Amino acid sequence: MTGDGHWARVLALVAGTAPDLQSLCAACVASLPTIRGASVTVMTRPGGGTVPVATDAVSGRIEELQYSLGEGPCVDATSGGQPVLVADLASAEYGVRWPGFAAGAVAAGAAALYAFPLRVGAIRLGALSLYRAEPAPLSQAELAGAITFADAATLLLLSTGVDGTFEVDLGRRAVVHQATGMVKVQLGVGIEEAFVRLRARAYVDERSLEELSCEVVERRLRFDEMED
Amino acid sequence: MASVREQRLAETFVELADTLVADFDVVEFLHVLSKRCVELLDVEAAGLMLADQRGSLQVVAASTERTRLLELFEVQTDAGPCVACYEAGNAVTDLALDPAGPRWPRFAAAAREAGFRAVHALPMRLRDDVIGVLNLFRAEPLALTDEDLRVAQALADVATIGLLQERAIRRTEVLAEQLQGALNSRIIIEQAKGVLAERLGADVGEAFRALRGYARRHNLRLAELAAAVIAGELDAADIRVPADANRAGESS
Repeated sequence: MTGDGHWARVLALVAGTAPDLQSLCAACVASLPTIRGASVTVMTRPGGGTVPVATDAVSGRIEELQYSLGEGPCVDATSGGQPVLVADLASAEYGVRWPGFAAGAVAAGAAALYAFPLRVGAIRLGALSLYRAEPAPLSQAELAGAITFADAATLLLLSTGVDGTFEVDLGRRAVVHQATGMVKVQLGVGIEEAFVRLRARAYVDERSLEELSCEVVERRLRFDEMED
Repeated sequence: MASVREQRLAETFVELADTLVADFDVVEFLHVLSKRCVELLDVEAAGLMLADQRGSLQVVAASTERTRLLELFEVQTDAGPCVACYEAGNAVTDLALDPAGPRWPRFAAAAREAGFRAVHALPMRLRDDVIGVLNLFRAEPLALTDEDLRVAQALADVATIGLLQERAIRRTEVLAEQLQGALNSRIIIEQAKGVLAERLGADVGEAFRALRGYARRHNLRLAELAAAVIAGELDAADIRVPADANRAGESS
């Protein structure tokens, strides 16, 4: 059990749909039969601007409601950094939690809603949201599938700068995240840009992200002394 | 002597139970639990790994933040006692740590290089699921006593309870939400360690001690403080550990 199978699937998805989030959402709905629609809310983006993406009218309405009301599972998933999985949107607890959104989404045709943050630690990019017309919890397999798509969407959003940086995964080792923090300070940029720059450098130098990160953390490599 | 140990055990469980109030800091809780494992059991290092729902185990807390120790946990995402324990749902013990052995040569070599000769991996169980693993390292090639193993399993069970934050979880959704949240908190803390290390000219281990000390002094959650550090909302100089407080911070 290495988790490599997961990343191989993520990379295949990214390669098959890049650079198009719309295609990724469509692939998500196609591969998860019980899911009726998918959408992605992008909160910030290296290139600036927001791009709402939805596979159908109900998903579009779900995004619109959350944007205008400022509440809902995607809002909570993005700010809290963890998934928000709602098996039955009509149950009373969600009417209390999101008074405007819950009723609106049910009226629009969503009975169950699952929101997954697109994030790497403090890097928060937005959320992937899936809905069903019937109330039901996600199975373990569906959950794993949805996380695969969320990772692919995260990778897509972080890979806008340099072609081919998809080949590097999101970093499973602590040293990658430590190096990201150090590069952020060295370059005086946001954490998100620091991560993109670290990954781009690994790609350009044809080195592994982990190896490059170790050099940064061990102070054998500084980004502010590089001539870009 | 047994009574001293029993008293210490009782105090630890009370301490951990006291932490489990609403809105507590799960990362700090698991860090304290790892440290207590080292104090209460005859082991040199302890760490907790959680299933990330991507098919891997990820480190969430360790008794010390030594880079070498963290790497030892990470090496096991390929093969090692933790993965074996997670997959089988049973405790796994390796008293040989043989780099030429068939099971996990890479891990065995790394563990020996770090000065360890024996490893125990105990499952964090929730009903039929295993959600993570408590990993214990010893410098001697000897198994823990049955009594120590029972205490260790009790600590692993407390870690599970703490992680889930609810006494009676009915929905698997809550489990997925909590696990993903805890693992993301850990990444935020790693990023903040990097930011602080660079700002303070310190290594990442010192950066963690500074972060944790500040969180405790100001009653903040580690992950929230880490996010504030990354956002530049706090002056790094204010977070620096005072020289004389360094050792106190390490021991608590």
